[in-house]
Amino acid sequence: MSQTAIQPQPVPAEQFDDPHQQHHAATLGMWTFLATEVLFFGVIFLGFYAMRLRWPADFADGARELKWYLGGLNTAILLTSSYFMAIAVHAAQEGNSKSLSRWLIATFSLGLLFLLVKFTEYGIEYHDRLLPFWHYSATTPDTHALRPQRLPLFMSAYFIATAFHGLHVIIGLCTIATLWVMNRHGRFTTRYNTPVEMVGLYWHFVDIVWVFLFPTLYLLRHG
Amino acid sequence: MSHHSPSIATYTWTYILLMVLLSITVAAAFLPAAITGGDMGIVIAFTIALLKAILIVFHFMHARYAGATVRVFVAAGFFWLGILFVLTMSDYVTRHGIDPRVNDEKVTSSSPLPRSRATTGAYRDRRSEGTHAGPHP
Repeated sequence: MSQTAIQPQPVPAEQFDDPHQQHHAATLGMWTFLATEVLFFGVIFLGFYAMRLRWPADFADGARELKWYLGGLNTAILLTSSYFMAIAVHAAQEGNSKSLSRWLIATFSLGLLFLLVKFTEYGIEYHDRLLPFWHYSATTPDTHALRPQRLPLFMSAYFIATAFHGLHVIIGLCTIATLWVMNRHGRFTTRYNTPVEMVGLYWHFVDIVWVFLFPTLYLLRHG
Repeated sequence: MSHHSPSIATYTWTYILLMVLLSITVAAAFLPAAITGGDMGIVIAFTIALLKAILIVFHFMHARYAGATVRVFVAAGFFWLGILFVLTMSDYVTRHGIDPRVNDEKVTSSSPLPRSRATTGAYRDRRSEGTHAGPHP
């Protein structure tokens, strides 16, 4: 791989006939990995909806406990970062290393902003005593009204889903940072930019997971 | 090697559409409960999320421009997800009226609980249901 990058004419790794085949293998491998990720998040969604079917009213109350505007803001942030990532991939394909560097930084910054908003939300939920097992109260802290019986279940699902998604965002940020360093060393050309494309696929996937998480957790406000 | 990829203009239009869909899904969540109550809310939210996912997969992730093998692999992931949901939900959705515990549950959740029991509400139930060894969490 590294040989391919340094030389102006890409030389494929020895198991491939030509660079095109190598690129095709990488794309196929990435999509196979993403298919396993689809199933990984799939069971989390499935578990959530199975529980929601049984306790719709309590889960609707749970959705109303969350700050929908912060979730919405985070959706906008991730969609925008996906757009920036798409432009970064485009820049890499054009061989514009300066532009690639700029758009990678833009994507990275928005990913960081997403995490910042997410942790702010976690802070609010901690303050509202909504953390099951650890810092939960059966009544609301301000009015002392009794909370729904299944709220801890909703909150557990919420924390598991968003924490796993957050972990994926963190991994995405690490890979984007790696791309930025590789680009600084002049590793990408018009002929070889597969890593940028693959990280792009991963980042868009992380975006898609959030596109489903947002309405699932925040927007089903009626039982 | 040459990649077929869309222009920046395509990305921009995709992005604008995504933001419009985001606004619609948020607005739909605040419609009166008479419209979005029950399963309708889920249907609306899920349809819009699916549209957004399709836009991202086809335009941002270039599935539209990918070869046949890659397309099959993309479809396989979602196809298996479909199996997971359809087979599991065909059980859970049709459970009402068959499993008497499902109806009991609605009575218990609406009745007020003493505070000490409510604190451990989610776990209290599991103990009492333990003998049934039911599939519910």
